[in-house]
Order: sequence, then C-alpha cells, then structure tokens
Amino acid sequence: MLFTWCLLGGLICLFAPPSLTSKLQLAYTYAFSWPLQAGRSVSLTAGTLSALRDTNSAGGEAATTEQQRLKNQIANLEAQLQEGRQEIERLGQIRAESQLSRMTFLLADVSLTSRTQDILFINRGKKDGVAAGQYVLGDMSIIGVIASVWPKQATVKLINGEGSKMPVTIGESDLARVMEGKIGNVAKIPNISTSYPVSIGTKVYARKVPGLLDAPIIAGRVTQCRTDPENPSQLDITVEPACDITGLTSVAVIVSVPKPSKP
Amino acid sequence: MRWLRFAVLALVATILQTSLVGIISFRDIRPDLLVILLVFFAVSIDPRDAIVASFAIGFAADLSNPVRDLMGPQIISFGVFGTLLSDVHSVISIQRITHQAVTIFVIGALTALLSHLLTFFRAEPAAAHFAAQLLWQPLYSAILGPILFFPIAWWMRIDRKGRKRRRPGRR
Repeated sequence: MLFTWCLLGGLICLFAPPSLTSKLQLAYTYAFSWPLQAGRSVSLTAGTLSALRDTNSAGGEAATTEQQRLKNQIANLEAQLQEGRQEIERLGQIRAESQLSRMTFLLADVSLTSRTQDILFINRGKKDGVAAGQYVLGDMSIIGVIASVWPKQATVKLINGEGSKMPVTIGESDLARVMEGKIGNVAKIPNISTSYPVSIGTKVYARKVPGLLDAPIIAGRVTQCRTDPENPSQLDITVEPACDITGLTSVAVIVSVPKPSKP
Repeated sequence: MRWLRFAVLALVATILQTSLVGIISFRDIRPDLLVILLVFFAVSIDPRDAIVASFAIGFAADLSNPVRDLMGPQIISFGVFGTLLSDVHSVISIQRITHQAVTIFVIGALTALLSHLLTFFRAEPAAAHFAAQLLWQPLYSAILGPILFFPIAWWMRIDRKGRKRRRPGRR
C-alpha cells in the first residue's frame, strides 16, 4: 500500500505542469545557492588546475614548442589589440558610445545546470527586473534567452538546447535566419541555399530585436557545413556556442532597452 | 531507521552530486552518489523503510538533476528499483563487495533506462548523454560505491554484518 501511494505521488509529479514542478527545483537552488555555487566554483577550479597539470606534464620539447607558439600568439594579439585601441579612439570621435555599452546588464550567478545541459538556473528573477525573452550573455556572447522567471530565480534556455529558436545573421552579411536547437544540444540553421558561401568558422550573430537586443552580438560559430542529404539544394549547418557554457559561473542578462545616448 | 540522519545524508549527497562531484569526474563521467545511497538503503534497512527511502532519494535526484523542468522520472525509477532490490535482498544476500558493485551497476543502468523512457512521456530527452548515463556513470558508481558504504554505514549507525533483516510484511 505504501509503495502504491509513493508511486502515485511520483506519477502526479511526472504529469504535473512543468511550471509547478520547476518551482520545487528553483526552491532547491535558492535555498542551497551558497553551497551549490561554492561547490561549482571549486569544481571548475579543480578542472582548470588539472588541465594545467596535464599541459605541464606533457614535458620537454613539445611543451617548449607549444610555449613558443603561445608566445607568438600573445604577441600577435597584443599587436591586434593596439590596432583595435587606435580604431576605437577614432570611432569614439564619431560616436560617443557603442551600442553595447548603452545597454543595461544585470549580473547573475549560475546556480545549477540541468542534467541535459540545455537549461541554466540563475539567481536573479522578477524582483531584479528579469523577464521572459530577455537575452543572456556569457563571456561576451549570447548564450540563450530567459525562459521562465520567478521572484528571485530564473531559467535560461540555451541556444543549443532542444526547442530553442533565435533570429540570427550569418557572417558579416544580412542573411537572416532562425537558429534552432535540436536533440543532443546541437544548434542548426535551416533553409540556407548551397549557393550561399558559408564555411567552418563563420561567425553567427544574434539579430537585433527591438526592445531586447539593440546590437548584433556573437552567438556561435559554424562547426559543420555540408549539403543536406535530405535536400541537396540546401546546406546542413551546425553551430557551436561562442563560449564554453559548461564552464560559466556567472552570466549577464540584458534587462532593458538601450539607455538614451548622451547628447 | 534514523530518519534525521537519513535526511542530512541525502541532502549532503544531493548538494555534492550537483556541485562538487565534478572534481572526481573522469572524461565528464561522474559517479552517481544517489544511486549508491539507493543501493545502500535498499540492502541495509527494513523493506518498508526502504520504500520510503528509495522514493525520497529519487525525489532528491529529480531536484538535483532536473531534466527539462520535469520532476517524476527519477522518483518513479528510483522508487521502483529500490523497492525491487529490497525485496530481492530478502531472498538473496548482497554482502560481498563484488556483489555490491555489480548491484550498483545494474541498478544504476536500470534507473537511468526507466527515467529516460519516462521522460519520453513529457519531452524528448537529450540522446547525447544517454550512453554515459546508461553505462559509464553506473560503472564509475559501482567502483566507488562499495568504498562509500563504510562511511555511510558509520553515519547511519548501521552494523551491516550483524544486522538481521525482517521479512517483508504487509505493505
């Protein structure tokens, strides 16, 4: 009898609306936010240290070559940075502020990642001005949109999560399409003709959406581009997020339309 | 059954599973502490208590490892297989370390399979992690589980060798 009652409770939970059951999960992340965030930080730090140790133990000649290559890369980046700074100075004279700096961001800590790694739980909610549909940044790239909001918690549907849809542009062009998340945490961009030049590494930008996103921001990069076997006249394009989402401990929510620029 | 100690243990295991267990992950494969707890309680306590403990651990698993905002798949799978294991243990003793490891592996795989199937009722689960959950995670848990049984038994004040199990009665 006891087993039957418990099983019935489980079935009620299974068939209850997700909006109700997810409240329990949010309550858990809220109640234990401190140990969860501390544990996550320790875990990520340990992962980083382990990776560094692996690199060091690779040893000898390979390490020296790798070091040299990295030094060269740093030098190249420094040169590019210098050039970029000069360009910004020139642009600054034309325009007081960039579009990105005019938006309002709200920092939030990631308290939990779903087992399927398609949803993030963050510790900001309605009381902080978070609303469904707002874009979320991680490492200066769009990682998803706010899916559901509670007073002090919210969930972020990641761009590669199944069912996710985001208007994007591909490369530097104006080609606008909708990027869709598919099973297995893969993002695809359908309906692109084979005549369109898309290659591996092409950047994919989240498109401007009035009231939500005032400037295009990078969302991912093309990792696979081939002819669609089901429709040979179109391309099968796979996109990977522009940052390592699993390693994020904090994100920024774009909470409002751009602030008015200074006169 | 010391329910307060059980609650503390389940809570600590849930928090560790969500956050710190990544430290001992190997190629992104993590041991499932809650499956280890499930097997421990199913073979260590009274069958009637084992039913409640199994469903409670399943509830904790659904809280800590949410699948598309859903709750229930793991409550049911942990509850069903925890109860089944408790009943089987009334007939076949699972005391040797190798037997415990095999049990953890089998129960880990079965709970993953059933929760995956139950998730299909409400949403399509991510196929990418299914192989890891069905094979590698239970395997890792099976290696780690029998070692963890000792501190768990100490915390729960359960003398596993001297314990006498009661035959399952009325439910």
